[in-house]
Amino acid sequence: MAAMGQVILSQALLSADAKDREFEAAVRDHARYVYRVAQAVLRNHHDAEDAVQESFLRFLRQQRSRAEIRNPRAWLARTAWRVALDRRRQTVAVSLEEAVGVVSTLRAAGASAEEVAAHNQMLALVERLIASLPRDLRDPLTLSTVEELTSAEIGEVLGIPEGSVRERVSRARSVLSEKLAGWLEKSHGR
Amino acid sequence: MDDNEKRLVDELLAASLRHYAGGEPPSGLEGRVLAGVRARQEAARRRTAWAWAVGIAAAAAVVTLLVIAWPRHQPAPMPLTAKAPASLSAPAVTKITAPVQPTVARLSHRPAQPMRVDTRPQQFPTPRPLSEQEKLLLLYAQALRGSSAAPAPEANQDSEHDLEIPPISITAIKIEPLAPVGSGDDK
Repeated sequence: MAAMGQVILSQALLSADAKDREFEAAVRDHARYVYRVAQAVLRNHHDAEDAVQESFLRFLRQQRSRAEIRNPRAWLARTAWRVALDRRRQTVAVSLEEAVGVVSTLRAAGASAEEVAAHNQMLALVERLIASLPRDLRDPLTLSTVEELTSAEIGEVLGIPEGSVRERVSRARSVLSEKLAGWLEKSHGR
Repeated sequence: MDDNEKRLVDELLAASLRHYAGGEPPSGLEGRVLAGVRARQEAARRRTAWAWAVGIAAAAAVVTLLVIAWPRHQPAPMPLTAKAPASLSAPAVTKITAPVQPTVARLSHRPAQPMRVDTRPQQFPTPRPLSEQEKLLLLYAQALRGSSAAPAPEANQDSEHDLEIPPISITAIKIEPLAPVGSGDDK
């Protein structure tokens, strides 16, 4: 009887130990990827890191509850997306006119597209333009900015088919391009 | 907008979307995540332990209060009985029991218990007819008493003689008349 108890206890300890190792491996493998998903929504380093911790905490609870996670990467992306949406706050409003003015100035000065894109005003401008999109276009486009996410994974996170993801991302880009061109043209004409 | 301009806008948009997701996460992210998750897990465990402790304490308090406040079982009142004295020279005992109390209001929810009838005999131990051995012993004792009681009258007579009191003779008391002592001489 005592021997059986020892066997059960040692198995439980081994199981807990194995789960701890599994959890640490998951953090090592997916923390950065989860961070990018959260960052794409929250646009803030501290908020994104909090969202990553919350996502991994939920992952750990799921592991402890003996529920099977077939694809930890997809599970974590979906969880991080939901956590980030719950935590998303209204970003500081940036004047579109001011942002477009800075971008036009940079372009006129001969800055490359990459240089202009890295500028804070350009990022604020893109953020405002994305926020103005309808949700069914905004969500796939936001997730598509995370390089590691494939269309299939985006579809899994949002619960839509892969084909729909591609179609919506393409449409969203087209709408953004038109809006950006319109703003730049307006700024150039002043 | 000409094609060249359109191409530039597309490039700008593509580059902006690449930057949109942010650059590399800050170094040490994994360590911070692990430490943060463990700290939050420990805090949650402590909260759970406290919740259990408070819950158990509250349950114990409720049980204690119930035990204290629950009405105790009271014995049913005995009926007032006055029985006839037993046939075997037992002294008549009138058993007086406590008067019948009205049912206590807080016991009203309990089913009424039937009145118990006192069937116990009035004498203890219970008198019963003599057994054969007891009867033989009694006869033997009587016979023995009869043989030893025969000379008793003589003894009684002797004692009566011994105790015969002679008639009392009382001598008459003679009282001399009082003579006045030296009554005339003194004067």
